[in-house]
Order: sequence, then C-alpha cells, then structure tokens
Amino acid sequence: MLAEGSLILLLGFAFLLVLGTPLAVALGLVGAIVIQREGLGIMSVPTNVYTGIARYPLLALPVFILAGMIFERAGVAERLVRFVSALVGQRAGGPAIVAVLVCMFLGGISGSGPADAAAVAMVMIPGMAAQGYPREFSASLIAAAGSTAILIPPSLAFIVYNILVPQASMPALFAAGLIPGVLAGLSLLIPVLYFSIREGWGAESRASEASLWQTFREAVWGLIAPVIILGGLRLGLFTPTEAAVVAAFYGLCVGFFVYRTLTLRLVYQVLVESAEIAAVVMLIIALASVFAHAGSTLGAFDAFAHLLLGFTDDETMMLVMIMLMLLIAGMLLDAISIFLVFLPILLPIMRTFNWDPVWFGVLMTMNLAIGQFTPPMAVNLMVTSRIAGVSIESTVRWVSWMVAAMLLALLSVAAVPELATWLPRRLGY
Amino acid sequence: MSARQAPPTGAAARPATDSLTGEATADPGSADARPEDRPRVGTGVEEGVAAIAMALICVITFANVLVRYLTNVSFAFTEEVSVFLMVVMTLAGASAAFARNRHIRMEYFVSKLGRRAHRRIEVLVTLCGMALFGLLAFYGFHLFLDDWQYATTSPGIGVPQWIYTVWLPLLCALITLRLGGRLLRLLRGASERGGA
Amino acid sequence: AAETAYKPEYKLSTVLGPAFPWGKGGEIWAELVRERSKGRINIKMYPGASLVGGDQTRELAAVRQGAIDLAIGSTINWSPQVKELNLYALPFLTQDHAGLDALTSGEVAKDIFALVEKAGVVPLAWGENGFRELSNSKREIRRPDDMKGLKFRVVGSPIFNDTFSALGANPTQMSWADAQPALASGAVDGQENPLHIYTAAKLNTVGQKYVTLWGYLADPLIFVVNKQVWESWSPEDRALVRQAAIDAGRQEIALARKGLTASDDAMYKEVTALGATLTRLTPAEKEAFVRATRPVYDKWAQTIGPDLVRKAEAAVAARRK
Ligand code: NA
Ligand code: NA
Repeated sequence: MLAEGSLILLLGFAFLLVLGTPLAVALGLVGAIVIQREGLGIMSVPTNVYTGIARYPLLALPVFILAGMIFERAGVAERLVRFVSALVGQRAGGPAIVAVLVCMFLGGISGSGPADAAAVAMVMIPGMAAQGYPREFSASLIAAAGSTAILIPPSLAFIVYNILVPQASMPALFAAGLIPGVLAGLSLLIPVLYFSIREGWGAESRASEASLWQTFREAVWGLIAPVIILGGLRLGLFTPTEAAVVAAFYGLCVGFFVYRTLTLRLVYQVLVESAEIAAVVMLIIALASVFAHAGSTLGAFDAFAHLLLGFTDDETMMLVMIMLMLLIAGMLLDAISIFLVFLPILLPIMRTFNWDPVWFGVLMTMNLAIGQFTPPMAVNLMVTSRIAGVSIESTVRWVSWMVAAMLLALLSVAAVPELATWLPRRLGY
Repeated sequence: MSARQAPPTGAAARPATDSLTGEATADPGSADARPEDRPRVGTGVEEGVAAIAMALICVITFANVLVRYLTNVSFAFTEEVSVFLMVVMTLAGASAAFARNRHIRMEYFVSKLGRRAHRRIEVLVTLCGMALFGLLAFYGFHLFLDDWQYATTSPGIGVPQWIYTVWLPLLCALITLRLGGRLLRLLRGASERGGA
Repeated sequence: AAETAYKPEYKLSTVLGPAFPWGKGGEIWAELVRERSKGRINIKMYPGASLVGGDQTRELAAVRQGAIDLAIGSTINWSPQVKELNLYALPFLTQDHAGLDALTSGEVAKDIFALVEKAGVVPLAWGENGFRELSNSKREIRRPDDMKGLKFRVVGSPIFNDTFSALGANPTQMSWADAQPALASGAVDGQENPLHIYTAAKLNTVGQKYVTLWGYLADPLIFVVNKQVWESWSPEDRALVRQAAIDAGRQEIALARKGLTASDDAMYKEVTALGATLTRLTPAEKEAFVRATRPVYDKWAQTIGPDLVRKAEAAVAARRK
C-alpha cells in the first residue's frame, strides 16, 4: 500500500500535469510540498536543484544540442541529400529511401529527433512532393526516420538515461544504440517500398546531374563528423562532453570556411536557441531531482513498483506491460520527460528481473523514439507537418504504418538482447 | 505534451528551434503567440546571459582538450566553472522560456475546455510556478547565506562557494518576476475581453 | 534546549554502501542505535550521498541545514566547509596506521572536533576510509615522472589539484557517482582511493590495471549529528547514540584495515588476483614523491594553520618512537 505522503506525491503530480502545469513546475512544487509536509528537510530542495544541474556528465547535453544545431545551420543536410541521392540512383521509392538514409546519417551527428527531422524535411519535402509523394506521407516518414537520432549515437536520451542509471555508462549506451537505431531506420523501408511500388511514387526520380564523386566531395565534411565524435570517444581521446565540443567547433569551421553558410550573427542566434532548449530540458532535470528526492526518501517509487509487480511476476508479461505503458506515455509526453517521470519506478522492476541496464535503456529509448511521432504529442511530427504544410490529423493514416514498422524493430531487440548488447561488449565497454 | 501548434507556415519557413522537444515552436512575437506569451520587457538579457554561458562552456572545454594534448599544464580544475555556468544557463534560459510560455507542458486536456475555464486554469498554473520559484528564491537565499557565513570554499578551485550559489536565488527571483508579469498579462487580457 | 518529538525515522548519509567498510560502519551504527534505544531512534542509511544529489562535498552543509540528520563523512569531502580538515590531505604527513591513530586521538582530535562543532554539527566519533593508493589504466607508476600527463579523478579540495599538479599529472574534480563512468569511458585515466574501494567497486573492470602503493595520505571518517536533532533527544539517548557511534567507528576501522596489516595481507593478494599490477615503492622511490610534493605541504600548512600542523607532526612523531 502507498502511504499518504506517497499518494500526495503521485496524485498531486498527475493532477497538476493534467491542468497543463509545466512539467518542471509540477515536479518541483509537489516534491517541495511533500518534503515540507513530511519533514524531510526543506533545504534539500534548493540543494537538489543546484546539484541536479551541476553535474559534469550532464554538460554533454547542452553541447550536443548546440553541435547538432550548428551542423543543421551550416547546411550539412542538403549536401548529404545530394550525395545519398547520387548513391541510391534512380529506382522506385528513390527519394523516400534517400530521406530515411539521410535521417540516419544526420542522426550520427545530431542527438535529437526533431532537429534531425526538421533538417531533412526542409530539404526533401518539396522535392518529394514533385515526385508524387503526398505531403502527409513525407511528413510522417521523415518524422519517423528522424526519431532514429535518439538511438543512433550521439543521443540526448542516452545522456539523460546515463545520469539516472549511472551503471549504464555513456559509451556503452552510445554503442548499444547503433544497431537498434539502424534497424529502426531500415524497418521504415518496408512501408516505403510497399507504397512507392504500389502507387508508383518516385519512379521518375532523375539521377542527379552531379557525379557521385562531386557530391561526395561536398558531403564528406558532414560524413566525417560522426567519425570524429564516435572515433574520439572510442579511442578515449575525449569525454562525451569534449566530443560534443569538438564536433561543435568542427561544425563552425565547416560552416565558416568550407560551406561559407555561417555568419557571426547566425552563430549568436544558434547559441541563444540551443541554450534555451537546453535550459527547458535541464530545468526539468533539476526539479525532477526534487521530486525524486521526495519519492525515494518516502519509498514511494519502491511501493509503486511493488504494486506493479503485484499484477504479474512473469518477466515477459511485465516487459510487455512496460512497453505498452511507455507507448501510451509517448503519445502524451516527450522522451526526456518520460525518462525522468518513469525511471524511478521502473528501476526497482529492472533490478527485480535482473535486466541488463544498457539493454533496458535501449528498449525504453526505442519506445520513446516511436513516441516522437505518435500524436497528439509528437515532437517530430509537429515539425515535419508544419514544414509540409499539412495538419497532424491528416498524417495519422501513414503514421500508423511507420509505428507498425518500427514496432518490428523494437520486438526484435526485445527478443534478441544481443542486438543491443553485442557491440558495447565487443568494444569492451 | 506540448504547446499549441502554430499554423503551418510553409516549407520555406524555418521552425523556431524545437531541437529536442519540439517545444516552443511559436516564434516570439509572431502573430500566433497569445498576448500573455509576449513579455513587455524583452528577454534579450536572459538570452544573452544563457548564450554567453553556452559559449564559455564550449571554450573552456575546448581549451581543456587543447591544453591536455599540447601541454603538460593542469587545467581540468576549470570544469568546476563549466558546471556552474550550466546552472546559470539553465536558470537564465528558463526565465526567458517562462516569459514566453515555452516550457514543456501537457495542454492536451485543458485545450478541450472553454476559453474562460482555460484562462482560469492558466492563472492557477502561473500561480503554481510563482509559488515554486518564490520558494526556491527564498531557500536558495538561505543556501547562499550558509555558504557565506561558514566561508565554504569550492572543492575544485578553492574560491568562496557563495559566488556560485548566489545565482540560484537571484535567477529564481527573476523567474518569479517573469511569471508575475505573465500573471498580470493574463488578468489584464481577461478583463479587457470581459472574461474570467 | 527543550526536547521535542522524535522523528519516526532519521536519515543517515554516507558516500559508500554496505559493500564497503564505510557503508558497513553506517549499518552497524544504525543497528546499534535501534537495538540500544529499543526502537525509539530509527536510522535509515542513504549511501551514494543521494540526499544531496550525489554531491558529497555538500554533505556537511546539508547536515547543518537539516536536510540530513546524521552522516558519516570523509575529512576530504568536508574540507570545503572546514578548511582545517585539509590536515589529513597533507601528502605523506603519516604513512602508517599508528601515525593515523595519533591524528584521530589526543589534542589533534580535540581541536578538529571543536572546529567541526563550530561548523554547526555535533561530532561524535571517528572512523576510517583508509590509506589512499594510486591506480590508473595507462602504465606502472614508480616515479613522479610516470604520472606526467595522466588525468586523475580527485575530490573535495584544491589541495589535490596542487599535489597532483606538482607531480606533473592532470587532476580533475568529480563526485564518486561521476567518477565510475568517467573511468569506464577513459575520460580520466586514474584515481586514488583505499584498496578496499578498488576491490569492492571492481575498478579492474573499468581498466584500472596498475596499482601503486604509495599511501600518501589517509582520510578518517567522522560520525556527526545535526544540532537540532541532537538537542531533541534525551540526555540518555544522546549518550547512547554517541557510544554507538564510538563502537561502530571501532568496528569500522577494523574492517577498513582488514587485509592491510603485516600479519594479514589478504587485500593485496585480492588486488593481484583481479589481474592488477601491484607496485610497491622502495623507500628511495617513495622519497621522490615526498620531495616533489613538499612545496604543496608547506603551502597548505599555512592555510590549515601552522600550530595545528606542528601539533599533528609531533603526535605522529611520538607514535613512531
Ligand atoms: Na544521434
Ligand atoms: Na507521441
């Protein structure tokens, strides 16, 4: 049974959330009220807010947001699209295949789904429309493909997961996300090919006039970025934060000197925007630590986990239940928020069944990736449908195909944990 | 969870950010922002502080890499400053985001309500935010006072710890003021329209 | 002060859990208090400094402010609040258990407890984390030169920056929670901690292949209680909690020294069994480290207070005779 303090904590939070209170405020206010009421020491509130943010591993988060944005503004996406188009050549579904592959490539630079989806949508949707692709389809596809950015390293979702579950190290998580991320991206090719062939979309895609070599030479600056980030991490040259900073400076150099797309004014704008986005996320992290402090000292999370374990002690059933819960939550909340709200409850369950924390993190992130394009709260889809000039409602028909495809990838990683755990083990993390 | 969706602006328009969350999609001051989402006192200062903090974090970290590979000098203790800058960036950026209603929230359910009910709830929600940040400013001040009175020093560089902690109450007070401004705009808007 | 109502549960903060002597000591203390008070005083332990979000350097302040009721803290982690605790971080001030005992008893201990009391908490007893040995993932360390360019995780006080910089290494501050992933990812090359932390945390699995026994310093632990909580207890209960802390401290110190004595060297064997290269310095080799860090010692002796340092040196010397 849940004690009174725990009930106030969980129900109060749910109530404030439904009222539309900003998530950060709901977490912090309920946490502070319970801490005061239960005599847990009110000074733990400002202390936890400060220490919740002032943590070295968390530095990677704002800087990866910045790096991703710099690459976006530098115009890497366009050049990648030209190169991959030349690579894929003229075939049924050509442009849609290009969109998926470029989203995956960019995912290797950017850590966030909406950034990835926005960059590709702006470059590709007009052209895809000219090739016969309905705008609704393109918006759904790119929203889904963009979500692989939180699986393919670097990933903001994994950075936050690592903060909450330190025994899953960041390099191990980054390595573990690669194969599932690629699988998730490739799974989208099933609906792409099915509809492209049936409807004849994209059949007339002209091969680009530029040669493969020319487009490669332009795109190579972007193609190197993931190598710098992941290679530097792999060789132990950089910490994840340093890798992000090196990527940001590299992106600045490419934008200023190679593509000549960046100006000082643009850079300042990028700094402001990335700082504000990071601030919104990190404020939630800070105030979630107040909530977590109240919940864990009261034993609320353990009690709630116990409650869930009361429903079933079957491992598979529990996993299915959790995945369903996360898919539903993914319709209403964004990925980072779901981690912060659900992980305290899920961790005791993870320990009960002795699940590998890296594998579990990847599974959760795959669920949250799907959540990025399931309405009503679908961060990627909001961006792509805005760019496509269509309503979110009109995409639902296509989105359900993308969800089904990506669920296949999710199921295979759930059934074969090796898909996630093999690479980090192989790399010795 | 998120905010209202701005009307489609066509493929040419760059969505205002949303890198991570897709949040905050409305451009500041753009036609679709509600009046209470447009602060009278611009958020330029907070934005500037957050941007400079971000830039400094990058410069310090990059310098760390360079110094490590090019020299034998020890420079890693500066990470203490980066971590502090992250606190400043978060609170300053959050302040600007509060002024413009760009924080992550679940508006799905309240958006189904009528305008008057919606506005009343909005007032309540803003008061909740003021209560939280008022409390943080108050107890954050005590945290600062403790570091000041007991002459606590920072573990990395050994400077007085209060020069870091003093920003917590200051910036939380600023956020409280920002939310207060929003509350006034909400109430004023309501009386002008004869609502709530 | 008037006694007030007892809380149903008191929160005890430690940095390490029961797998380590430190956390075990916390468990023993809680158990003894519960037993002897017949359940009047219930203590729940929170390892990982989780009550302050893992930031162990804020622990003492949180006890003072009432966010934590009781704590067992390392002198290193609390030195930001009590600068004299840096005494125990003076490189090579003492190099054996007898010398360490001299620093946690008699005049020196009395002075230190008075300073901790002045910092707003009630000190009760001593424990021990232990002599801190060096480990790293890159190479065997025999001379200060071997440390050149290596990045070491340290915590708590700028004295460690000075010490490691003096040896040519690149020190960086982080909490224990952040240190383990940093070691795993190669973000830092090495760390310094007692050997029982090396074995219990299995630091060999995060690439820490080389261990050098240099015993450059040892950090005692201090058992403390929040002042208001202390005053809320009856005089009998205060005496009982203090005695329980002293008893738990004794047991904890025995655990911390297990396998590290002349008659029992099991801990060294355990480290070797984990596949680490264990390096013992000859007196001459050790002297090179002492010499290299001497300027740091002299500089920090001024910060700590020359009188206290002289007293400590005398106490250590007296034991040696
Ligand atoms: Na990514
Ligand atoms: Na969703």
